[in-house]
Amino acid sequence: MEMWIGIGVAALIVIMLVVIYNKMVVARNTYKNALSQIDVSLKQRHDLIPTLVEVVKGYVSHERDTLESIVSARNEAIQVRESLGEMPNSEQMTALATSEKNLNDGVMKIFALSEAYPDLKASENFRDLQDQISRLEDKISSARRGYNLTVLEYNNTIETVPNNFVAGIFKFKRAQELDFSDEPEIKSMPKVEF
Amino acid sequence: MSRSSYRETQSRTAVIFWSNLLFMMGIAAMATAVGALGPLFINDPGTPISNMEHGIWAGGAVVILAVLVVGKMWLTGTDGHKIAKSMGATQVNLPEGLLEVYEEREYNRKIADFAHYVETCSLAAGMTEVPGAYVLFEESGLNAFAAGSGSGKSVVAITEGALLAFDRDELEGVVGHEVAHITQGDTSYAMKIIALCTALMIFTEIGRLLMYVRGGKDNKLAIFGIVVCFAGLLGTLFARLMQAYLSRQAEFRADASGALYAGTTRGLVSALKKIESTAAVETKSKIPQACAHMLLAPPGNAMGFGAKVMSLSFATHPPTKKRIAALEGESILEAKGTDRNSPFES
Repeated sequence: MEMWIGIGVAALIVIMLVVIYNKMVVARNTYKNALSQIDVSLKQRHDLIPTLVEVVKGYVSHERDTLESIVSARNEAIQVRESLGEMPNSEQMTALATSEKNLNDGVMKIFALSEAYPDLKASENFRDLQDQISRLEDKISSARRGYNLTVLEYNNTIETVPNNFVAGIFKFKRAQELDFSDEPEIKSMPKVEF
Repeated sequence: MSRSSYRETQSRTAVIFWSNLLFMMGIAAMATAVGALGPLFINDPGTPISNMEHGIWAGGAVVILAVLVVGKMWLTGTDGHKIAKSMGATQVNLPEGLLEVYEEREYNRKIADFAHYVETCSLAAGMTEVPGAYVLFEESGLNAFAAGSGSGKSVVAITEGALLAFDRDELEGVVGHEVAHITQGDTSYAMKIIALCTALMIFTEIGRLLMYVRGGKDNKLAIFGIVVCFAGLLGTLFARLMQAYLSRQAEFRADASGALYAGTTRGLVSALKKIESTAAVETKSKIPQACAHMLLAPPGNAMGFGAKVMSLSFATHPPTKKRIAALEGESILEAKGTDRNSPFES
């Protein structure tokens, strides 16, 4: 009789282990997927920058500094993005936030240029690009929030009590949230006064 | 999943508990009615009826129900695309590109916005795929729904009336709300409920048909038919109550989570206010009442039965005023660094 109880308990424990382990795997893959979504949108934005620079060059004569700085910001951002591993640590995340903010500043400056160059402002190519980039920034912002949400869920999953033992055995590590604390600035376009 | 606090909803565990309790009470009531009265009417009067016979009748009722439920679930499937198309909706975020209405720039802009928000809200929800975005053309009421569950099978649909009437913020809020339904599991649960209600309807119908059997010994069948019919109605009562209760709770939670995904409560509040002001006008809606629990707000103003108490118990949505109050009680949601204004300055 005791033997059956023992077998039953052991089976129950095994089942629990399997269920918990699977939950953690799903949570981890979900947040990794969210990170890759950010990556995809960032890459799309990086890819649009050269086109933006080309279009602007056609209308704008004396803004070489602005254009050059955005090109270098873009290259830097690409480097940082490509150096991120699958599970970035907090330093890498900070570096990512910084490089993207710099790129954003550059983009904002270029958008602001259109105030001074009415031909540029009227150009449909420029407006299309503006739309596309604005939408991409929306996506990036949402993807970032989604990432933080899924990271929170993953961390909750591996740190709550019955699960943390399993997490320790299988070496599930805590994930790092992304912090773009300058978010409100990203959304507002600076008014350029000449 | 939402990190905001919403006072109107009960805790998820309480909701699950009550819903399961009501569900089991309904099934038990039905099985008891059939089990107790079945042998009584079918057997010759005077024969003693063993407990086992009662049990067999009751068990038979449960088995038949189970078969009907599973069958209906299998028929409907979890594919949101099928459900949306069966309601007459058209997909606008096709793999090959956005659906475009010929030479209607404003319209296309709206479609693009809608598809864009479906993408951003699903990203913010941490979903691994973007749901299909559907528009119910030729539906002039203001409404939206979400359907389907499982990878690649979920969809968000919106009426043409809503697409045109809502501005960008409001569209975003509504889409956020619908995406929240998907991530909360309401869409898969809704399918099970529909399956259960259909099974109960069939059950009741079988009883009703049996009632018409005439002649000799078969009169017993007719009486049994009444029993089955009654049991079915009883079960339906419980099922509807449970479904309405869960639906109301789900609406509050979807409001809160939806605002989290949209990034602000402003859009959804504005949309709800618009719905409330237009609900006074009874718009003819093609959406059947049976699907009401999936929608953003009850179609037209149909709440069901006459008496106020009854209608509130069976209402699938909380009063819109309450929803607005609940949302506004929280002002702009704050998750780490996500204060944001409208994405487009226009």
